Amino acid sequence: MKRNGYTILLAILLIAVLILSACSPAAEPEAEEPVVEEAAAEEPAAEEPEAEAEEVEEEEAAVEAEPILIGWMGAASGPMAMLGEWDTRGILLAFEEVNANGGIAGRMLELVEYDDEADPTKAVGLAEKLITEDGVVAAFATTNSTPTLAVVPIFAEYEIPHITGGINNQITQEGSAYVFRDTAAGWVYETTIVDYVVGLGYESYAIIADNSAYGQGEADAQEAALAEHGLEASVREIFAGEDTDFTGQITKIIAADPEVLLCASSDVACGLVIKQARGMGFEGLAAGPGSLGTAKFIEVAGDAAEGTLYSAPYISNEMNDITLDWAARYEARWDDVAESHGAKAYDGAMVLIMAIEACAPDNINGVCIAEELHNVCGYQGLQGEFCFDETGEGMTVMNIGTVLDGELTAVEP
Amino acid sequence: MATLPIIVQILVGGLGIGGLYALVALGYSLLYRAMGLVNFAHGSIYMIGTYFGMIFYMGMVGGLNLPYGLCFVLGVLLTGILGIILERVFRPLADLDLMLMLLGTIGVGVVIDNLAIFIWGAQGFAVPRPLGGKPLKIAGVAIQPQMILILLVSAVLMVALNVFLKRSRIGKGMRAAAQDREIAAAMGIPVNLTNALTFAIGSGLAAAAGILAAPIVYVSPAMGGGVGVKGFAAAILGGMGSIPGAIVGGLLIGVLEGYSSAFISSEYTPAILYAVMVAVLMIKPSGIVGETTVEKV
Amino acid sequence: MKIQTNRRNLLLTAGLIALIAAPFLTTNNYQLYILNILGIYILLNIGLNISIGYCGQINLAVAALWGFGAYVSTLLTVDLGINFWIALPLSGLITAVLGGLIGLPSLKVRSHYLAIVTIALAGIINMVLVNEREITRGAIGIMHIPSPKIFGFEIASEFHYYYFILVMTIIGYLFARFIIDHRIGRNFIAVRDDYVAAQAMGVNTAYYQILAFAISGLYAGIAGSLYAHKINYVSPDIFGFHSMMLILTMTLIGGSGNINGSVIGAALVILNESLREFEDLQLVLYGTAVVLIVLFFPEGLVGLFDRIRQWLANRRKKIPVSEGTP
Repeated sequence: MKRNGYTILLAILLIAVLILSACSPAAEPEAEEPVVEEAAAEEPAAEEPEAEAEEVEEEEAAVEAEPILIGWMGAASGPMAMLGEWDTRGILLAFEEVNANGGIAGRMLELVEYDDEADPTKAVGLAEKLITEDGVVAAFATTNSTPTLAVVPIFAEYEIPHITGGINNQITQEGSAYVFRDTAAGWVYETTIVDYVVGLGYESYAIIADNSAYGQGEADAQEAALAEHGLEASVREIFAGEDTDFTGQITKIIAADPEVLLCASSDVACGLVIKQARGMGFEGLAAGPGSLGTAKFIEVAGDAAEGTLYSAPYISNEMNDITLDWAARYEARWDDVAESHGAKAYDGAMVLIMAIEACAPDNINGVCIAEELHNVCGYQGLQGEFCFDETGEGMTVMNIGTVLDGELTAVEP
Repeated sequence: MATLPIIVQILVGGLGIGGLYALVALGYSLLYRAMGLVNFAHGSIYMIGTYFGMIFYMGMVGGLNLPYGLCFVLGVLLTGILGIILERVFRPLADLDLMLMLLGTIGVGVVIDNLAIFIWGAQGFAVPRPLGGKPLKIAGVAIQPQMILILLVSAVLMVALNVFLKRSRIGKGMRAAAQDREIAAAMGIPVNLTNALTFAIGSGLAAAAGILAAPIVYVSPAMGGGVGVKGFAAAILGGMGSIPGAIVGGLLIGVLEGYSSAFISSEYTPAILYAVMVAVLMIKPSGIVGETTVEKV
Repeated sequence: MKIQTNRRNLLLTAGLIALIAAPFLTTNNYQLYILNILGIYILLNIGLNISIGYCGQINLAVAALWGFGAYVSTLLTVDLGINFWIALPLSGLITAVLGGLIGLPSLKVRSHYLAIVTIALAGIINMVLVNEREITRGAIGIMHIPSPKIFGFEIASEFHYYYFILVMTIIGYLFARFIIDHRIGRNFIAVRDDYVAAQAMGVNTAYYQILAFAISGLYAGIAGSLYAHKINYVSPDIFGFHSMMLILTMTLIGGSGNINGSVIGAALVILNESLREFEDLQLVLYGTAVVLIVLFFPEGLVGLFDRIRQWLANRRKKIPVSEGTP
């Protein structure tokens, strides 16, 4: 048909036009423009009534010396959306405090945020965008494990350091000198809690986990930790991510009559599991990693949460004076109670700031910042002490907490 | 492990969850029957219906903390009204080819989901159990009070729906309009009105399911996804457009889910459900109860 | 062979030059990455289009087949050490076979029943990828998938991969064109438009239905291999229902039943990117846009272009010599 040529050409032109219009006009690798977000839009950006803090920051930054661009990518929509929100709140709190004190070498810190929807395909593209189009010198990427694994090689290739909140062990095993964790790896959470519970004398265990990368990884770590003590879980039950009814799994668990139920999933899912387990007559100990040590877990599990043991670097806002002070600042800024994800993001931001300060004023680039991050040792963050090794792990010790009278409480080891 | 109390417990739980799936499936089938519309936004309606009810229960609207029963009624009514509004939007979609209909209804679903996130945030919240958490021991089986409530209310709703459709004038009008639009219109039955009513009822049922489920699950903008698909599968399994089919399909999936998870493999349960459904459809392409004529594309 | 300098050939040549020159018009790797992903989505769209658009067979398992193809190619190269250039066609073929198997239910069910059946089968494929951890490494996925090597040269950068994908996309497009323009395509359309009449005319409808599914599997498998060796990483969550919806949206909005629609629809990927600026309301706008397009442009963008063309052609005819220029 004769139409084909026309239509093809129109298709190509359409694509070309959309590409060129969707990109920033001054797309040099080192983007000089202070107001990145506006340049990248070809339509007039609709300013949201609840404009995020960093957009206000952009206006101010445009007036002063060129800002230091830091990228952020993570889940900002969909079922994981609160991860993104908690994460950026922690980071922005740190950035704003530094900027209020004159920034770093007179330059303001600016966060360039993108939503990767916890999707590796999008994450790869956004990593390229942050690095080659926006020209960030460092980034927070990402909040979830599988997108992080997808982008580790990219950040390594471009020599841009990135800080991740993902817990999966493999992230730091890929040989990249540019990835850093803002908290401890999954296996640290699990060995800590398992060691503690075994130390209390419990001998029979059951594991319940979801089938996500997080769940599978944590359950594996739990099994490995038990094996270290010559123990084994009698059952390992699995559920799909969006499941909300665990009758089948809990039935099998109760039939195995374990003293301890280890949960490896999100705060909401584990909350539902424990609630239903108690409702079906499970009377043993419930334990697990940090997701069981959150206000959300208590909210979902209700009374059933009482007595749960968890391992976490950040037990509660009342841990010590530093955390109390931070929680107060957080609440003043965000009009909401502070929580552990924000704390770890804040720690990540603080070590990054330290590294940038060490590189200022002449060497603020990826290579130097990565080097300085590796040099961070002995820093007391909200979660505890940070000391990065060459793989990017910074924390290897954490605390035990419990739910006492409906509150997150530290346990004396 | 396969002791009688456990078998019964799983049956009860399965029927409860299955009852919820059935209520959602009824929404799909009612709509399909009346308008020939497969509504892929139904899961989102389930979600927003839950929100409509629970925001009053949780004091999120001007600090009002209304009793659960009142919230139930309020949520169902508000969602019914939403259904009437949505019928206007969906009317042109019903005449489209299936794939476009799918896409269009999904688009509406995306809008609803994200408006919910926009208004109430992405996080969601847990809902305390109105009847308390202590399980009732009936004949050696521990049953959550909320589960009993679910069983009772969903049964009442299903019976009420049947009575309404078979006995009341409006109901009969709706059935006539579903069977043959033109003749019904010629006989003076206001087809658009009956369609709007159908949409309202279908949406209200979904809201009822969500509000009943809320205390035992977690309320969030994402809560409609899984239930939406299972409800659709239940409707298809029973026979799309068939009211008893939707009920049978829903209960079957609920019970199957429970037993498969407990006795076969909890990690492969969704796959087992899928496989069973495919097998049933291969044997009886119009669904278990369903009409014998299948639409050939 | 006589080469006609008619309008069509000129346009095609111009188009080809534009495609070859495209990377030089881009200013950073991100834009190249978008182009590369575009190529992969075009192949997926074509596969889906052949099944749904041309043969009327609803295949909502294309995304899962894409994932299956990606994993097959990955495991062949990473675990069995097979050369990429053998793994690529092999993935296509194996996925084609799986696609054909998925097509079997289409012999018994239609329309929304077939829709849920293919959704169910896709779900099963996904569960297998997640649960069979011995083989697939489970939900965490597989890293360090090797990039293709040709005569010792590694096709790894966005720039080089672009030309590789460009060639594959053109081959995919031409192959689809070939199928559509000849007997197979005509029979597909016959099956879609009037199943009973086709049978009455002696067309083996069952064969063509399965074939349509298999071809969509072939495209999905090839696209999977290209994807895996481009991103060098696969995980099951990449190939889930949300991906299927994206591919379906691209195919329908571009224009179902028209190969060029598959190309145009992929441009939607870019449109989605440029909507990023609106943050919270991005998805609300996206959803609204989808509904509006479905309601007012059911033939998709291709249909829109055709309408514009018609309108221009009509205008040209109407202008008498004495009037001014349009």
